[in-house]
Amino acid sequence: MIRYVVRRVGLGALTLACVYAVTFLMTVSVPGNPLQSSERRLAPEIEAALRARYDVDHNGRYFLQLLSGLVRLDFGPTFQYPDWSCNEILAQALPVSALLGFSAMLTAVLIGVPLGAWSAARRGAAGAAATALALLGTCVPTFITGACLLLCFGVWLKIAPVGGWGALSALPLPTITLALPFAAYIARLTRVGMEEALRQDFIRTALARGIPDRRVLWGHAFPVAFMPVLSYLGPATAQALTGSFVVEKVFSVPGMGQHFVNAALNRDAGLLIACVTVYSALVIAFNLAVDLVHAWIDPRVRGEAAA
Amino acid sequence: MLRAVIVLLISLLAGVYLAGRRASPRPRPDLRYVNSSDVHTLDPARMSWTQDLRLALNLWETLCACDPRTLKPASAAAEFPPEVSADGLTWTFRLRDDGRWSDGTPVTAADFVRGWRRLIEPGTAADYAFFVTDYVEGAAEYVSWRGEGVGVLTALSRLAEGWSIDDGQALVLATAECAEIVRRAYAEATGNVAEPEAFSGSRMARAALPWGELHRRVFEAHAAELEAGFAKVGLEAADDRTLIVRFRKPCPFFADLAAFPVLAPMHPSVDEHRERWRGAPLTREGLVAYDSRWTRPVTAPDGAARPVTNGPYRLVEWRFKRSVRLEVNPHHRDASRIGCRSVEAVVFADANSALLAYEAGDVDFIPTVEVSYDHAIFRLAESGARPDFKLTPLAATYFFNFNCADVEVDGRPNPFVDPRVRRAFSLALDREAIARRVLQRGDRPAATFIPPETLPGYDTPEGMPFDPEAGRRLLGEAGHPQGRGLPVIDVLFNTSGAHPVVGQAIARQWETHLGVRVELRGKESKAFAEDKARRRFMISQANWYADYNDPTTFLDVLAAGNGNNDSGYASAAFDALLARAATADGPEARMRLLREAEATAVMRDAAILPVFHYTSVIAVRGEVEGLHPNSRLWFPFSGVTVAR
Repeated sequence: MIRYVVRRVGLGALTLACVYAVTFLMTVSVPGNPLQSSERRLAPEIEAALRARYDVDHNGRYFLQLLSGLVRLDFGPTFQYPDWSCNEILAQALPVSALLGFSAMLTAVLIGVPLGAWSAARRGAAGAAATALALLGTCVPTFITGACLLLCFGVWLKIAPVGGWGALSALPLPTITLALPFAAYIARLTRVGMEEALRQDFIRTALARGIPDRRVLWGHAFPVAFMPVLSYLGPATAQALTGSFVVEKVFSVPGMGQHFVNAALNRDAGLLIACVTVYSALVIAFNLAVDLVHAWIDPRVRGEAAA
Repeated sequence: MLRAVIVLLISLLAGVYLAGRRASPRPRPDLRYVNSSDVHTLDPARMSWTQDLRLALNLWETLCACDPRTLKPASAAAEFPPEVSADGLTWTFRLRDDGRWSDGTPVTAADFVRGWRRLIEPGTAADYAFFVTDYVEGAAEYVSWRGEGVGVLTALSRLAEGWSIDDGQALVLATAECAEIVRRAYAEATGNVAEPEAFSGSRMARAALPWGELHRRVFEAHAAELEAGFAKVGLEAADDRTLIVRFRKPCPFFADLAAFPVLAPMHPSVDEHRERWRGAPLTREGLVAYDSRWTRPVTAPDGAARPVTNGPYRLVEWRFKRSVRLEVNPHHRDASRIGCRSVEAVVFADANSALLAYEAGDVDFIPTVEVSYDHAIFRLAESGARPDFKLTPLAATYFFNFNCADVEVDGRPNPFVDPRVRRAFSLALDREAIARRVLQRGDRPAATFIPPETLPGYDTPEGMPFDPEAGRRLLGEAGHPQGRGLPVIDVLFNTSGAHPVVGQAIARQWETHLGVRVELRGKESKAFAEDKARRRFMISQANWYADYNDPTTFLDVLAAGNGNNDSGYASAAFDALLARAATADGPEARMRLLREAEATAVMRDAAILPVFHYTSVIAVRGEVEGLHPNSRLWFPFSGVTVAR
């Protein structure tokens, strides 16, 4: 088991290095000048001096400079916001995104799993309604749900602030908006898993032995049905944690999602690489965590892992 | 198990929440307004964005102020008007004796010299350095001497690190000129005249020359000359309260410039943040650089609040991507009279959410309402149904640049080098239709570059009419009847905002009226900027906002060689008119010459194609008094009162 974890961590580091190299290549090969922040133009000798100062005039050196920063966990300066370093920006944004992401995933699981299980167990109108609800969650884009929630609870009912961050009251609306698509997908996964599980022989046996429906559903079928959901939770949590551009924009949440997009648009290589690295590291970590939980729940996986 | 997982998750959540929560929430400020994106920098010398300048305007006090109602200059840190010599070339500003920094110390003339010097230093890379370098005697020479020094030191420090001169990536050395400067520096420093070949063969250059030693000597010489070099600039602090500015050409509107926050004074404490190399206050490349965190609100080890500012407000909090909070500077002369004691600028990345927050009463003021349904907002403002939405014509123009270069970048002949072709395209544009029917948000159709009635004392010329018949005739005279012989017209535009819609409307009009074929080439902002800078276009979209209240803020853009002259227009007649205006006798003669200059560039030569002048909707809640909408969106908060 320990060998398995060590190997996975090593592979994770390798993946991270590849992600860094590819991101770097993409950043330096797109057209656009990172030092040009406004409409006006810099004098050529000044631009040359600034490029030299930030090492951006030599891709090889720039690559190594950013890489050494990455290893030291110091992502360097940003071009667009000269008063802040990448580390300071991440330190402000990551906790915000983490809080929002965790609460959204929790909400998504608490809505999605019961909804999916219920729609699998109850065919007919109730099941169809649950499916329709799940479909709605997937189809309606977050900027629509977000704006509707803002209008209802922020402007008309005035029970939540319209944007802003810092008070507990600012949390529910973006959480629900971010959670809905995840909840819908989890519901679908659970339903498919549940239907599959309910057709298995051991369920029929359990029912034949006279075990109550509810216990068969949750005690026997659910652990099997939950496996695909668990696999999905790893990358989904990483995705939710690193923020959503749309939700952050609509609710003025100072999280990480906007930095992703803005850093790319501004050709801000340092910040972009910092964001991508943090995101990749989280994806890798959560996938590993999910695999470990898998192994813990399912002895067959454990057997494979040990081999 | 599930229970354990849920308990774990909830405790994680609570932990993250507690970690991210702020220690003590501050009370609601007197005035809360919307910033559409976060402040880029709070260093006034480096500013170029409106939202940054708006904060600087309230944090720092410049020599003059700009009255938000009339946009005329007024007294601020200095008495008004300043004393101007008979030839207009020497201005003496007398500082008021009650000017105080937020730490209580008096504001001195030397503080202004410090601030202005930072502005023009190459390392600052300030967009607005030209406020000083274009007008103040000796400033341009100082900057070019510094720029050359920086170029050489950058090159030498690279060579010392083992770079080769031929390294194509080393931009500084990529040019023959730079290699020549390095060669000269080498000769000066060592007394040897190195063979030019030593600087072209890469390996030889690396092996043969002691670059590190040379860099050190050039650096020391440059650092030693720094003060003497700056002494030649026409900025003099005669005593604590007297600032003498000498100009190289008359600058009758300098009082307007002196109200712009980039010309703020700097407190001596800022110099504590200067980077040093080998004991000199320069970087290895010879740049004057500061630890850019100096703008962050902190309490210094001696207990003083930083940064130290001299305006009506001081900075108390800056939460990145969230808010900036200002409170009254207790040492300011008007401190007791300021009605609005605290101001908060909150970031709303989404304009629709910002408007919802305004409607809910969470914010009091939106400097520019820019929502996806802005035509509806415009109608509400225009009809008077919402008196808190104030329609404000701006001193800003949306236009297109014609590429005036002889040939295109790829070497093909450029049809727009012929002014008749440019005029034909300008005549064939129905600006009324674009402003009123396409955009429908109150913008004024633009026949000229300078928006009429926004700059005091200037009477705009007649302007370009909509006359497709005349346009077709001109195109025929230029050898392209019905557009024959013209290549597909390449129009470059930025894909953000309403630009694509305007582009489509214009293309359609030209196809209809002139019979030409138009290809629209939309690009994302950065790629667009690069294509524009390299002049890879026939026609490209642009806009310009007035920086100060004088026609030259627009017209200088079209001068030959100006860094922002994207069209590449170069006309001796136009430049001569600008030069004559600069030395004209009296403001009326000056304005007449400038009017003639605008007519030459926009009507006779059609260097640019004005489309519309921007109009903005400003949202101010009824409780807020004293925010005067004006054409430059210039909002000092010290005159504001909030009834709450």
